[in-house]
Amino acid sequence: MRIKIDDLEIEFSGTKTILELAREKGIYIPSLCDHPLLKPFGGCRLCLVEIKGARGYVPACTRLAEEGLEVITSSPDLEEMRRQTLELILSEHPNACLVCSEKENCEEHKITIRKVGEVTGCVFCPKDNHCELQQVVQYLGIKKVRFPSNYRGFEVIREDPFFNRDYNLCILCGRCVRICHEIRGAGVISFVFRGSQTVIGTAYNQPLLDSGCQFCGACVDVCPVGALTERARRAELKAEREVITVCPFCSQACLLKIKMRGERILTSEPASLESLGKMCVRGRFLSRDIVHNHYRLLQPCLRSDGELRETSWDEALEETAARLASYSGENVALIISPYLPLEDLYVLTLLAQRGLKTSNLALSTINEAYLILERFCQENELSINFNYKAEEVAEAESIFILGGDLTTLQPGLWVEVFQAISRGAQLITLDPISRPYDRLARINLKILPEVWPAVLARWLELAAQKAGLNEPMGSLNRERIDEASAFPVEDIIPDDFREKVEEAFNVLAGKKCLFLIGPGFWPYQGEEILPLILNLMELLGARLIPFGHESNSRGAMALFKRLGLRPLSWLEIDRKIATGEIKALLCFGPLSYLASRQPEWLVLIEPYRNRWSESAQVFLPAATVLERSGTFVASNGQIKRFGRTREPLGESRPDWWIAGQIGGRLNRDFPVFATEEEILEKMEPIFPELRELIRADLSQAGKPCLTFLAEEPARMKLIKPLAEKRPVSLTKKGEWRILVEAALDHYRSLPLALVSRDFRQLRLPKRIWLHPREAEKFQLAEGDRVKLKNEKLSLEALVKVSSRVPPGVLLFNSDSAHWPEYPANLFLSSCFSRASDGSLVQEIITIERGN
Amino acid sequence: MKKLNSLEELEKWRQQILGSRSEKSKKILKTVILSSGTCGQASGSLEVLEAFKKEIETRHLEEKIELKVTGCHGFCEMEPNIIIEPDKIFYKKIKPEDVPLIIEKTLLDGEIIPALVYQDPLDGRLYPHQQEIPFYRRQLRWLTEANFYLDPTSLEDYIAHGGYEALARVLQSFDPEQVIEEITASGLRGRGGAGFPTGRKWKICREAPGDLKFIICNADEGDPGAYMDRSLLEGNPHSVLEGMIIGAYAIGAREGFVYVRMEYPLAVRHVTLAIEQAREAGLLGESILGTSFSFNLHTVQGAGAFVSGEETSLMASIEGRRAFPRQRPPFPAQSGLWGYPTNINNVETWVNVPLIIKKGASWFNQVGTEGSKGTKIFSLVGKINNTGLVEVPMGITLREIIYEVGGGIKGGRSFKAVQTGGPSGGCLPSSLLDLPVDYDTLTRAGSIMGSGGMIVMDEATCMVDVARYFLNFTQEESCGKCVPCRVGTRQMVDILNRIVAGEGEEDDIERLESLAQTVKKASLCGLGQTAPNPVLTTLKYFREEYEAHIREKSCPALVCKDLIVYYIEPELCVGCLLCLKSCPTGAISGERKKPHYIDQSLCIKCGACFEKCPKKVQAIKKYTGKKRDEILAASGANKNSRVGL
Repeated sequence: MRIKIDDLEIEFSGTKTILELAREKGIYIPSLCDHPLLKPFGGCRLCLVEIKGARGYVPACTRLAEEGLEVITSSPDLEEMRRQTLELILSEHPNACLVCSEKENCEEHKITIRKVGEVTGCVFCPKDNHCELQQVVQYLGIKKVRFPSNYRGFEVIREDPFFNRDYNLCILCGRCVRICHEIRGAGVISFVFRGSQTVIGTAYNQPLLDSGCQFCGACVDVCPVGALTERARRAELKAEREVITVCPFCSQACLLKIKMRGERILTSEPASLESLGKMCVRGRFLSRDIVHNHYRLLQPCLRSDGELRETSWDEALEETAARLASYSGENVALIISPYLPLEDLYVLTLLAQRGLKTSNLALSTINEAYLILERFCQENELSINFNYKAEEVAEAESIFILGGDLTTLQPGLWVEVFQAISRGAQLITLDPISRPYDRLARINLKILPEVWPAVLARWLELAAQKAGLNEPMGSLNRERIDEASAFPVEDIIPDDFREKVEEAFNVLAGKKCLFLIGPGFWPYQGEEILPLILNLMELLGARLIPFGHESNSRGAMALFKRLGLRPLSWLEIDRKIATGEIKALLCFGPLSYLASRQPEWLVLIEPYRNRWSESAQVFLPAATVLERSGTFVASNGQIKRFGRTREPLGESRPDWWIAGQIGGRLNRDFPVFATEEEILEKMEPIFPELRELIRADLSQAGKPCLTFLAEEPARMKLIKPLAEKRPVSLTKKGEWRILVEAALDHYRSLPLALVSRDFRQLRLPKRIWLHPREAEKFQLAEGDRVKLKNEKLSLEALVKVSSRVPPGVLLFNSDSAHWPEYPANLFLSSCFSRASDGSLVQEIITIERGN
Repeated sequence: MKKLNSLEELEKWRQQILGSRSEKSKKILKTVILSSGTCGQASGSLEVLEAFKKEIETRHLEEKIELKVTGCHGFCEMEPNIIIEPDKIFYKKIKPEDVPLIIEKTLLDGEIIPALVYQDPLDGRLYPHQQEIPFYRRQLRWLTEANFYLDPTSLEDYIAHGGYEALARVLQSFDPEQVIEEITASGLRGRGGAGFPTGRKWKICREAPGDLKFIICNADEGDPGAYMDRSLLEGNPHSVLEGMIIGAYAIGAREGFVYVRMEYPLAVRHVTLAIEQAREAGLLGESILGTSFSFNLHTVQGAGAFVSGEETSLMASIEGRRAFPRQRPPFPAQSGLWGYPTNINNVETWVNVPLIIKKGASWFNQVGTEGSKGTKIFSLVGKINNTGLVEVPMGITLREIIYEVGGGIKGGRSFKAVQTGGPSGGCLPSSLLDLPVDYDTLTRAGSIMGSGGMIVMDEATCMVDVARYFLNFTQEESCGKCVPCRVGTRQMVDILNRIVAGEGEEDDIERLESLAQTVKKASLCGLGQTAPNPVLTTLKYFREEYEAHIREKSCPALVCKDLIVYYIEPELCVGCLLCLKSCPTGAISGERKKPHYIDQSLCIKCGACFEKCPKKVQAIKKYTGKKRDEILAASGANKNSRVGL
């Protein structure tokens, strides 16, 4: 189709607005409220254009291009209207700098002028020189505002973590509101009041913390002016350079743009439209904190006379290698973290095989849905395709979420799921805890984990009926289906749920269905549930996407698979340490959060000191991923390579270098690597997908990556579940039920709340959550101290009161395991045990007020 | 209430009702009809009702006297009023104490009570019968007449008076397209203000692709001083429903919404009740009257904003979102509620529909002008003798409305201007009094018909203040989405506030005109686009008043408090102390039988003294401009001090 903009004839196809077309062709039409990610708003009125033959003026951002349209973007009338509109905006936006005669001098001398409480002009504003309002003012050549100023006089809102809200600068473009509603589905802020009192605010003017905000930073990123500004950057000088890298906090692997000044990380922003609006508080605001914090140990240390003493690399490595050589392979174990890039993982497998000559290789993480599924598939000779494209999520028609809060564990995936829901996909959740998306769900099954197997078994029964499995399906027969759903469904689903459970099944079945399984599904009934989920997936033809795993879990499993390695489970390692079979542990940290004991000799390789570093024999400082280049395999299968952001701090080194050094000292023939590229080249035979990436220019790392991990074809069959019927009741009614919230708010062993005061306000893993009714019973308020006791141990903890937890439940946070001097996981382990019939038993807990 | 399963059953029921009524009416001596819409209730109609009930009971007259409570009769100045049938005796401003006398004298003895009869302020004559009263005589009460006799809470009453006949006829003998043709032929234009041809709108919606369509009744009526829709919703809700059901049939809609502003609780109650009654009777819901046509109606209450009368923001409000308008195209008829084709019409438009079907398009379009057919209800208020709701044929002149229907300017003063169309409209001067009222002539003159607000102003009205009042309203009601309206009207209000405070500058008129152009042309919706109209029309027709405010710091109408001064003429003052006692700030001093004196530095211009000074004396004068400056200088007060607005 053809359209004419000014004198330019343009060919186009599809549904596009005039503004979009103009932008594509490089024609500038000023606009402040429009944004490529958001639906057109039509509020700022700067983009008004004339259309030949039509009367009045039309915003280019809302008008769809049509065949034969003739658009005029500039005329004396339009120009005058634009100027007046812009001057009206400026009449409410501090603009002292616009007319200041000292503007030129100011540029030279205003080094720290921004440490002021109020912004009265551009020089005081953190957004100076990045501000879209400045750009439009410059384009229109405004030198003077012909209207009297109406400074609205709001107090700058500083009560929330991470960023300030100065609504004196707000031009009410609505982008923040729209991205929060349309893209994130959070709806935390909105326009409030009207007329000249209109402002952006939360419901009842509550702090963002109390309004459901998760501080993803999307609103800050999309604000054209300085109304929303990151506090950490307010007084900073301008960034000197930018580096594109991959976020290390979870497997979504969003692309980050790290702003640097010298070797100092200032902040991390979304690299492009691809990650804009999809990031989370971790990648957006805390990247800097994992590099620069005072928990980092930057020197190799050896323990002598009961103290960790700083030493040189040579000494530490010699001592380590010498000691390791004194053990035989079965007495040594190597622990690997899925936070490590492919390069490090590869060298570590070499270390295990050729250096330590041990088969005691384990991942430090165990409760990840992906790892569990992958392991199960390997053990049962099945294969699931875990790669997915964003469109597959967006086109889902029914969605089932189980196993954790998708919005905090993997927000980038949540945003994609929300797109599907906005298009009409129906959501079913199975979770005793209230989640932010419950209000969007068709049905929320709010029941405790002990009843989950019954629900899934009932669905499986219905699925089998629907599939009409009367005749044998290839190698399958009726009996196997019967066995597959052989769980007592009659007596443990409460009556009022029976209909809901069936209704939920009908919502999921017969459509493009998506199963999202998070880490929370495993800890209680995981063994019973897993076969049910897989059978359901097969019968319903559902797509299964695990979520909430660490940055390179997929890379780790792919590597092990291709090398034919079968890592042990952490529990097996733990057992072997208990029996004394494993005497030495080499841990490329963190040490698993379920670790209950220490072997006689422990080497920790980590960036940070933690619970274990105080008792480890050797501590070797690892560099964070921002201090070296590397390669991750994201949860959707994309292989993302990133360059180095800054030099390693202090004496820290990449894990692969440390592994290589140890390996080299143990085995003369151990390969020597000088750079990450060399490792990748060595890996190419087993990872042919890396071929292009190896030669790619890392400064181009921001470009969309289209290399996916190669997967075997999917291979599923119906699975026979556990034969015995396990009793499903964990606790008796009326007693405290312990649940643990799966969290991914850490990097290796460092809980983010430990190093960020702002983050502590949002999520503090040291808190125990309980329902207001329970709090009243014990006369507890937010932040009070309580003492929890079972027969064996006790724990002091702080209380958080919230109705998102059902009455009778005590909710812990899994990140508390990493918190120094807080033995929550020890206490938790002491609460659970296995009875002789294999059922999971939870001890009785008592609560009393602490001091 | 039994469910009607066919058109025949409806007719049968109608005959039954009429039969039982004619039986009953044989015994009834007189019927007292009490006007009791919100305006009536505000003037005390409920107390009058109680008095009648008590009296009738005490005297055991239940068999002889029928008491009927209806909606608003339209003559609001005279409320509480009653009409006594069968003679159509109209009694005005009734108090509960009048009731025993009314019963004895008029109801039982047939005598007229002169004190309660309407007296024409112009010729002094008494008009005891409703149809002769000049206020009513010149009206053409097609839509509002039923308010004289309908009990709005009774479906039977509506049926007895021909209700749902039009619907039955449509379901019997009209195709949907034929209905649209009939409405188009009638020339009906939207009564909500924009005046878009109704038939054409229905056609666009009907032809829009898709099966799911909605219709909406816009009962948000936000214009200050306009309450035509309220009286229709309160007094004859079933006529709105009938119009909507016919419309839904014509357009092919299955669901409809009546969006009533929540500030109309009586209207909400009556409409909700009417919907319930209609549903029970099978006039709404599945298989209406046994046909294959199904239609459901729901009420939604407004959330308290003027802007939600704008159609796209009204739809946003129904969807549960903030009432922000959105850019059009696409228009609601193509993409409206939840993206589906939606037809929105005003209450008055819907009420015209059954009338057109019943009487025929050619009957309907005999009345009116070339471009505007039928009648229009106006709320005639302001400095006029007969305030109330008037229904007149299109094409009637402003002069006829104001003088013949309205009874002329109150207090014998002279006409200055009439404001039409509410905050979106404009002020027309006396030179335009002979303008025939219709959509196009009013628009050409710079105003609009709007939803029917008509505010009459006399020489004691300051046109600058009027413009400021309306602009202040639209500025406060602006939704805040677009810059020209949100910020532009604010800047305009600030300029006007300065002008009436005596701080006007020479360039202010130019600034106002320039801003007005931007606000008009660049605003997103009708609110912003028409907000400058009051300013632009007053500048066009009363520019000299603005100039006086700015250049001479004078308010010719003697209204703007910061530009006037109250002065006791020493030669006229008789020293009665009345004004002294009424002054709230103690600004007046003086002794008995000696001239009193106002201390200008304490005077807050409240006007209490002015009211109190006896009519025969009239010693207190208001001065402005130079004379004001002199008086202030003489008293030593600062002529620039402000008392505010």
